[in-house]
Amino acid sequence: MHVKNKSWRKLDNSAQIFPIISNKKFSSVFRISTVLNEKVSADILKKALKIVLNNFECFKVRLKKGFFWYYLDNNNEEPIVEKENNYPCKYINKYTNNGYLFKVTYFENKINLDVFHSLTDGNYAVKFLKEIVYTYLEISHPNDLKDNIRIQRKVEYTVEDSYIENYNKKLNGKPNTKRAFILKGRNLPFEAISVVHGIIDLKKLKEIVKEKNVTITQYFTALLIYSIYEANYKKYKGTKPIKICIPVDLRKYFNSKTISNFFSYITVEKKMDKNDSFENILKFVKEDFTKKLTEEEIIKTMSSNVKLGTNILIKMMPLFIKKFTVKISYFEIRKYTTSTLSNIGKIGIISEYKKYIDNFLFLIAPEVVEKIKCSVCSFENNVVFTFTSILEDQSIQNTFFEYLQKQKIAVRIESNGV
Amino acid sequence: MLYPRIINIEKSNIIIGILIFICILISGVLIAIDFLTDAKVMWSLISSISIVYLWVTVIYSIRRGSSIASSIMIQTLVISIFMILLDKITGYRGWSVEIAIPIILSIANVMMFMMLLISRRNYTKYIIYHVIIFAFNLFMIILFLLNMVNNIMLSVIALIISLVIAIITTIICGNDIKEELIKRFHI
Repeated sequence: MHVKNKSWRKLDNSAQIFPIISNKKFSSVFRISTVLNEKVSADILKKALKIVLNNFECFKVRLKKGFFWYYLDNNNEEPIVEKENNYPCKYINKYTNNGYLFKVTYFENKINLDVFHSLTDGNYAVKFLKEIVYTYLEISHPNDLKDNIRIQRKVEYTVEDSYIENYNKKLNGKPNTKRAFILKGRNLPFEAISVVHGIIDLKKLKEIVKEKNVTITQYFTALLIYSIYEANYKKYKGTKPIKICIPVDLRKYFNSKTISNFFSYITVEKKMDKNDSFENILKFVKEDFTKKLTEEEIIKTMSSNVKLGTNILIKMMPLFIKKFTVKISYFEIRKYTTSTLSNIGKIGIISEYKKYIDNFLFLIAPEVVEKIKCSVCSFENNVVFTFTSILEDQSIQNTFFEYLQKQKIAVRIESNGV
Repeated sequence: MLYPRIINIEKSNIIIGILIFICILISGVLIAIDFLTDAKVMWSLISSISIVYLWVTVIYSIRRGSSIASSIMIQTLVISIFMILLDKITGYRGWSVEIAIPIILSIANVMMFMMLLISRRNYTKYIIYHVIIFAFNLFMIILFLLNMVNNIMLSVIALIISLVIAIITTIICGNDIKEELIKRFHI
């Protein structure tokens, strides 16, 4: 594990934008939870977090404001562990969290890790949570699990800005500049967030996607577009295309072990035709993925975004002016996406620990424009598809899971009751 | 059950709302009395500004996480503005920039220096606030160069105090200052 010597570090290229645009209504926070087969002890969790944090020095940071950019400064305060008492993915208030950019909470059998996106992306947040869970289980079951089971499997990382290391100055991506269909409906009161998890049988799902010759992400993207179309688009007589943003982990394309953000995205854009069927949408999504999910296209998109952040005029702009201009432009840019679907894939756990873990959950924060966001992760024979929403109406969620059930795929629904 | 039942999400700000309403009401009544009594000095403005100053101080002080150094900096700034306004309302005679602000800046500088003497480790976190207070001192000299200040004796004393403190501070923690400035001004 690389231990950083410097007392501060710059934010990576994509992390720079989150502190500028984030507020109570746009938190830029995602959550990864693990559900154990036993009640969580607060004391053990605190101990585990302290131990793990010493191995993840890079997470011992607070966000500070510079004259031109925000940056991450060393934080020697105690990390806070508390009982879950708010909706997930809420804005992390630095004053109530000792400055940390992540928050660890627990409820019954569940351990939650809420992460502000400037700190890291889903990939390393999962690794961090896994370490917390391993350490927690080692403390609570010392006879059964010994530290040496996993001591060989160290989490390796660097803090480099892999965007800067890997972007290509000469490449330009095609900008996404057309407005998308924005979900309509009454918002939930009191800034509430509704959460619906569909715990899906992976084996059956795999059979179906294999039969249709698509990937799980393609299948879910198509089904999400179909559900939006049936449950919201038709009702509110939408005219603009439904656009789904799919984040892509760039570590698959580059040899990077950075703990900082390193992701790009593709945008699937479906112009809806009258009575579009699921099969039509799936065919379109598959073709669109094939076109857009190529190394060349991904690097193009990444390079365009990096070039914006490295532009000398933008770099030299004082932070208060940057905040003003970025907020105004981001207010428009956000309207170019209907929703986001993020799939962090399979979460692997060392076999000796599996018997203590029931499941993993992944959630991303919805906001005023993208009122519903979707996230996927899988553990053992379960895929958990999660809807986080600020809309009162749950018909998109219902349409989605009902369709899966019609395909004879077993789905167990869990929610936060909102 | 995976999630707790959330009952009271947003803490009620009714009390703060009521207090703000009372303050606005008081200011309104004072301004009305001021107009009706046809006073020579707009004393109601002084009381209204005092109420604003009170709110700035209360809000900043109860905010969790705000440091002593940032409070000193904010107080220096807010009291200085308050003094200028007070001077202006009472028929500008320049005492705010010639007497009050240099004294305020000197006190702020001495307080920051005392913080350095008490704890060097903590002081490194506050360097930027000291730099800003030092910049206020330079601003006073600019005012003099623009002929906006006639009597500069106290301003010069304040500047000498801040320069001496700045030199001692630089000797004691020059590297920390350099590091802090690199952090704050990185591009």
